[in-house]
Amino acid sequence: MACRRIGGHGHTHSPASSINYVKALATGIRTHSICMVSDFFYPNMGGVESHIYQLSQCLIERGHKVIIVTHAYGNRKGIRYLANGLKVYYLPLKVMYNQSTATTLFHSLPLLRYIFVRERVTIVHSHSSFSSMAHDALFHAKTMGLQTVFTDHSLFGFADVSSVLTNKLLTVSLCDTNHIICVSYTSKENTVLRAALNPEIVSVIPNAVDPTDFTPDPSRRDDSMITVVVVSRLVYRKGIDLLSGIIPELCQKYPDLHFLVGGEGPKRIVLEEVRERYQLHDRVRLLGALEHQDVRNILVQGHIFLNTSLTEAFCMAIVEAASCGLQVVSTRVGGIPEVLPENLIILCEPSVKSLCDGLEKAVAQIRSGTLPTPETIHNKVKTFYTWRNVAERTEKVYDRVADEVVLPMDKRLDRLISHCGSVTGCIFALFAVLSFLFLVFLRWMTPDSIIDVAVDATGPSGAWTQQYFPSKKGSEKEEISNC
Amino acid sequence: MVCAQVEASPGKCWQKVLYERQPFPDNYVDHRFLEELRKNIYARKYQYWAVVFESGVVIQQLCSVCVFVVIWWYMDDGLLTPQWLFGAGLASSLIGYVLFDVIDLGVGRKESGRTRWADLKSTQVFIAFTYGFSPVLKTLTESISTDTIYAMSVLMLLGHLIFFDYGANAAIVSSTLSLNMAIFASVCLASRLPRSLHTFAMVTFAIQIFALWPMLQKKLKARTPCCYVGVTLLFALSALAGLLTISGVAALLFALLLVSISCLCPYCLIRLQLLKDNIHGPWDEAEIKDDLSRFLM
Amino acid sequence: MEEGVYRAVSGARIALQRRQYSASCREFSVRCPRLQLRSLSAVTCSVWLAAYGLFVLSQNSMVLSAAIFITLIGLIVYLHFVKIDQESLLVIGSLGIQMTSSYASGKENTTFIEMSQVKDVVINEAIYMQKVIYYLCILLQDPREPHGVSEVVPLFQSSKPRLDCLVEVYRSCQEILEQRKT
Repeated sequence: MACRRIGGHGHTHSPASSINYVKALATGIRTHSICMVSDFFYPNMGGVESHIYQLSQCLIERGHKVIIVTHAYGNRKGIRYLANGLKVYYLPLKVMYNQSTATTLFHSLPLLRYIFVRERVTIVHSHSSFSSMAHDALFHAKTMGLQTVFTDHSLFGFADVSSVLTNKLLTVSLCDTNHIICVSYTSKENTVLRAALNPEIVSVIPNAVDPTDFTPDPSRRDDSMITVVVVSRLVYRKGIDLLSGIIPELCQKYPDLHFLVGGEGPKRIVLEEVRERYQLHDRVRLLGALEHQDVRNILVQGHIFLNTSLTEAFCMAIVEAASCGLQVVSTRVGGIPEVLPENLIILCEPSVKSLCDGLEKAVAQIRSGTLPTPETIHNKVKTFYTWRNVAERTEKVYDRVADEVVLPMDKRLDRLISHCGSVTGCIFALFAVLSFLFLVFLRWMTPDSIIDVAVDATGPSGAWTQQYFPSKKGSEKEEISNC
Repeated sequence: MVCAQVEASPGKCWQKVLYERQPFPDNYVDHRFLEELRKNIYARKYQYWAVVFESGVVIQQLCSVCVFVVIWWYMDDGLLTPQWLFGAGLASSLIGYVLFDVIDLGVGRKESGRTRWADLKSTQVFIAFTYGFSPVLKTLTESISTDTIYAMSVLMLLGHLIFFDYGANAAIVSSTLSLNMAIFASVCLASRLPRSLHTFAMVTFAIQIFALWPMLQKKLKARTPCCYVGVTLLFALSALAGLLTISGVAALLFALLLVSISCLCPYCLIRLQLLKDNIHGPWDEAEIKDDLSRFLM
Repeated sequence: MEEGVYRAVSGARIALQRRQYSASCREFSVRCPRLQLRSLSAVTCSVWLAAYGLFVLSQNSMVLSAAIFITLIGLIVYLHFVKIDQESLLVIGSLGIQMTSSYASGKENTTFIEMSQVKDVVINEAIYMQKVIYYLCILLQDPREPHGVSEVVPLFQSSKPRLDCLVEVYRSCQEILEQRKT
């Protein structure tokens, strides 16, 4: 983070659109002004958070302007800058449940509209269907006539009441969204069904890992024994109960098998009980919560990576493990079969027996030495998923979306009523009208013309790269962010 | 196999994998899209008469509550003496007790390993305690207004019907809570009767009809379905007849309720089953089918 | 002395006066619009109308007298403690920075920051109510840590000028601060 400085260059006052135009002429590609919105961002850790960050960095590298909007995390509120001038707005909104803000569809409109106007945003890109702020932003962006893109990171069932309700809300939220991105083909099928979408407007762009962060290091592992590594949050959905069955089963069979479990969660107690019951303290190590940078150091100590998830849209963990040169054993659920080729992964059914068989197969391969070396696995995996590739493909989506028209109000109401069922459709059409009236009121209170255009920090002509006063940099806190 | 082909690379098949760069746009929709979709794989086919038979449990419980209220009404009006009620209850309990063992030829008793002496002992203890405490129960609710008592009894009996274990595997089911609510209602109502002997007879009757009768029913239903249907019909008719002596309108409404539950509701269930559209696919959360508790024994 | 007309974040017109006393001594003052007779009478009328409505309902004449007192006291409090007519910033390169805010009643509030304490003057962004605004602020040097910032003092808090006005003031301040360095 560095303090913002305004230099003596005239173009800081001209609208961002004309800068984009100049940039576009210079580089020959279309540039967009993108606003990523999600409740989930650093300092919270997880797949969505790193996806947003890495994608934004790669898009900035390609000359686009990117800002991120999320909610305040504790004392972290106001405006912050990350590397390469990536601007993050931590909005002071109340958190309701699981780091997701409350949604009223209206209360965030004034601030989001102000941000969209001052940053001259052209495309609003929301992430994660669990984030209500993302849905709010989509709703407001459509009211304001901006192009919208949504990325779904998770799978959802259809059976219980809660999923019926959330799927209905997703239908409403996505029915007039320009384009949707899913992280795997399974996730695409799921989203298309949940939100009753035309599959043509859903693109599949996988997640990626930074292969330079996950390099193999065979010297770190102890070849006198076989180590199975598990890195995941210890919760029910990650299949920790299965793990508690596998550990005693295999430890009795193979005296040289060790388990290394990284992660924290409510199911830790189950593993501790198993360890206690079978006296496996020297063979099962529970490492607790891991920092992201420690994950690689844990992974390289193992021979086999075990993933017991019960549902997964795109499993980053197995790609990271394979990138570190480990043999991956995983359950065949969700999008996992699409992620790695068959020779790098052993897929099992989600049962103790099948997973034990899979692990035994992996152990046999290690003993017979038929496995490829970690170096070869790494070299193969590192070509699969890169953030540059993700950014390139996402850019294509933006290019496509920028040419589309945003539905005008009357068409949008028609779409809502015809597409979401008469009752829900009418309710949300009413909300859309109210939000439009609210927007008209806000435009009358503070017209767009008196909103200062924010200084663009990112991109080749941005304030960040030009370094007006390179000698002075320091961090500071925003003092009057007093909402 | 039919392949979707694009001009860029003829002969190349779309694969459902993410690790390969394929010559298809990201929003490409293959003909294999949604091929793993399954519908209604766990849906059950219902037979009309089987559902009607199953609805017998609900009928029985409704009738139990009805009979209980009717008996209380008689007692309150002095049409029924407590001695008579106690005697009849005792006799029917004995018959039920014998039936309980006869139905499965004593197999259940052997399995539970409970002796007759233990049964007799608990019966005696219960009767003695209820008899001894009946004056207390009688005066327990004196300071509470009668309207409150009635309202509370209605609520408790409704609660009893809601939480009763009809055989469904749901979180709301709690047979202890259900029984407790029924007993609470019976104590409330019994305390409004004229004498403590009435109270004693009423509470004993409540135990018989809310605790012992459902146990016998369960066994009847499992062993001799034909008998069970007969008993249910008889019980329902006697409840209706009892209600008819008090109020014709109430009896009519109750009869309508019983008919709609036993005939109309099963029909609706079967019709609505046709509209069932349950989607399954690879995105469903996997279920753990192993019994994992053995690892923690 | 130069004078320029700018706008505040709220859209109101504000005037920026610059006085250059010497190369290293400048004064900037931002004058907010004076209290408008129109808004004053509108507020008074609405309070009195509300009071009259209450009076009609309750038939208690206390309400009317209370309304008169409330308007009078409210006006005095507003002029004396809330309404700031002019905010000025006096930068003396060798001495320090003085901030003065004058209230509508004539009351003045002055703060002085010694030059040795001033680390820098920067423009920052913050979320203010339902807006995201730029503001000018002075960073104070942390006496224990040479590169640390101990406090951020926001300037022109009441008038809240827009970015173009802030940039003017910022550049002039930077010129003086640069002179101090060399």
